[in-house]
Amino acid sequence: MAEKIVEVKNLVKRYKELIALDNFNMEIEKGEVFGLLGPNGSGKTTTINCILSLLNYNNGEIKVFGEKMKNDRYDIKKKIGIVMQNVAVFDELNVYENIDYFCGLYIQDKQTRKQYVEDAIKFVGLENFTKFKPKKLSGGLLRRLNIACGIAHKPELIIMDEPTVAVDPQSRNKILEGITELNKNGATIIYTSHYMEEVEQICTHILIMDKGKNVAEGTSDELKRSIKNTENVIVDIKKLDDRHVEAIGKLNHVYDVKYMSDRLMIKCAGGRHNISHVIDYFAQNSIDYDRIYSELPTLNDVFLEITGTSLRDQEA
Amino acid sequence: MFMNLLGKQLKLGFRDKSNIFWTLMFPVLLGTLFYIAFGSIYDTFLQEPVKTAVVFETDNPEVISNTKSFLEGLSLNDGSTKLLDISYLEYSEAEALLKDDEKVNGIIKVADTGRLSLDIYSNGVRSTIQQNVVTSYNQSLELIERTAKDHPENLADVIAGLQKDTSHIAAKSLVGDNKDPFLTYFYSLLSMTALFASLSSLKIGNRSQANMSAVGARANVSPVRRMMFQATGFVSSYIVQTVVLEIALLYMMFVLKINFGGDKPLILATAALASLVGVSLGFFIGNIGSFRIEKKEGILVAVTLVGCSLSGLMYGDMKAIITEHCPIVNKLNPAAVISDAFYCLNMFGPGERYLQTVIFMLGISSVFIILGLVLGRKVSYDSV
Repeated sequence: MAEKIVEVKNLVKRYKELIALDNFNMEIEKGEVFGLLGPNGSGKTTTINCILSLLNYNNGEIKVFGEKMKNDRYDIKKKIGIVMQNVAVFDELNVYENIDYFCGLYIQDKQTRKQYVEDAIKFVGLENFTKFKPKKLSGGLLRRLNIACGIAHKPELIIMDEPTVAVDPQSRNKILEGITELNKNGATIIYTSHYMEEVEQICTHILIMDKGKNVAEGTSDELKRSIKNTENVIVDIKKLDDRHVEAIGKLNHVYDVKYMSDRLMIKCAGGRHNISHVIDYFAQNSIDYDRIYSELPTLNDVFLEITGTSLRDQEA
Repeated sequence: MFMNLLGKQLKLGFRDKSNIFWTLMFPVLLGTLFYIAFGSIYDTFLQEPVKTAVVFETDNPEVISNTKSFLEGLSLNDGSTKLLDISYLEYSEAEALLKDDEKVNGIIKVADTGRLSLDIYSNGVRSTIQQNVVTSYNQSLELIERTAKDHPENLADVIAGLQKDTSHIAAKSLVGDNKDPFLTYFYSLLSMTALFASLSSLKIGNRSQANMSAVGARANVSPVRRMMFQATGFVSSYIVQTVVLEIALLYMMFVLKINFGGDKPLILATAALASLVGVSLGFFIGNIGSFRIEKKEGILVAVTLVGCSLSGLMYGDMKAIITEHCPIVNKLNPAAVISDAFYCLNMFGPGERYLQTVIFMLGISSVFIILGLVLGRKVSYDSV
């Protein structure tokens, strides 16, 4: 049985009347890249802050490295690295000095620290920017600096709270490669993000939370198998009468059809050769179309099916 | 860990450009401006005696003789220029001339008791000098009377001492002696600089509290105790601000050649203590609540500016007016307390009154530090 790095049991956190975490449970095993997903306000950051003992909570238990986590457990904190959602660096210090400052909170020996700082700089690819102040860095470079500050001391558990927000694709790729490498080097990683493709790409285990609860969990494939949607058939088509849309909705295994912006989206639950049923229908009704293809459900489909499609920021 | 963190905090402090501007460049610029403005007023004044009407409200020949001797004997630094250009007039004539400021700057009335009083038409440099003359004369007279009554054997010594002392009144200069009325502006400027130090220490709380900044959150998840951040932050902030304040003070003393009076090392030590008051104030405010640092900066700037205004930054006589009407304000106003420390050192030397001010400054700093520590020791937060 793999060693449990983080155990959260029946965690309850209330902000006055609002229940941010409602008997939330989570277990993270050593060596995992653990994806924590959820809509805005679902409780991801609150969970992380509770794990880090930054937040008081009303009920429940949190263990990190098998020990009860408390604010004064400096021995546990020493093994944790955190990459904040907001960039947490000093404007007055340059790249090297910033990393050295935060690494210095963990590593006392100067020589070791120097080596660690250089490793971190190399790791995030900031070798050419060591003398740059944060204000001179682009958004992507700044995010990379933020990551370097969080991981320079080579922690065993790294918590990354949306580290790729507002980052260009090149920097994002670099960051994701880095996370995979950190994991290969033995670090356990908790990763939160709104980018499903990122989570699908790097996470070995995914937990979806909503309204402070654990609503689904497993590997990416397990989660995909757990939902109703098994196949999406997409048809690019210029014109389609409502009666045809309605008729397609009644085909075998089809449970949802939407036609908008010259695109027909057909969601299927179970069954095989769903695409051929749709092609047959078009042929029988002499309907011309541009392109038709089939896709397996993505993590995004899993996420939307589990958490719904309503806008969370607008909910009271 | 302490030294490692302190070194880095010092680096942060010395690189904080906005803070260095407000605590070094601003006082240097404003001090230079004060020097240019008041220096020229004083220079103009020094070139010509202050036109003064003297009205005798007594026929006592001894009083008349003594007063005339005193007033006519006052001279400027070099002794060749009279301090007062005196006209002996009836009150009605003097009053008419007083309304035309060019002709008479003030009326000194001599009572039967020998006491002097002053009527002025408007406040200004000249009326301040006249007021000093009147106050000093009355204090001397009172001292002589008291000595004559209680210790007549010491009367000769007292009179000799007073004769020496009265020359001070005439020897005032912005860059020469230590009783210049404009010095109040420089005291207030030093107070303001010391209190602006609070803008630096304000960041200590911000950088060590998880609910105030991302950097604070990162500090809180590290294996370093919050007290360590607070302690190194406070010490570094104090070192930076003291160095900066001393540089501003040395600039005034040695470049502008402002004579603050008293021992130079003690003046520098007083500045270091003033810096402690400012840094402690910022440390306290920085640890209050979780509201945005910009709001806290606003509070500190308001406290500093209002405090310094009340201590005479904008109107030199303000502190005296408050002392007369509501003295408690001066006791509670950190700017007035700091300003008073420099004033006491200058006027009375490192005596009892100076010591009281120093104790008060240490006390107020201790209170701020303790409150800051109590507020900053929070372990976990309800909201981050």
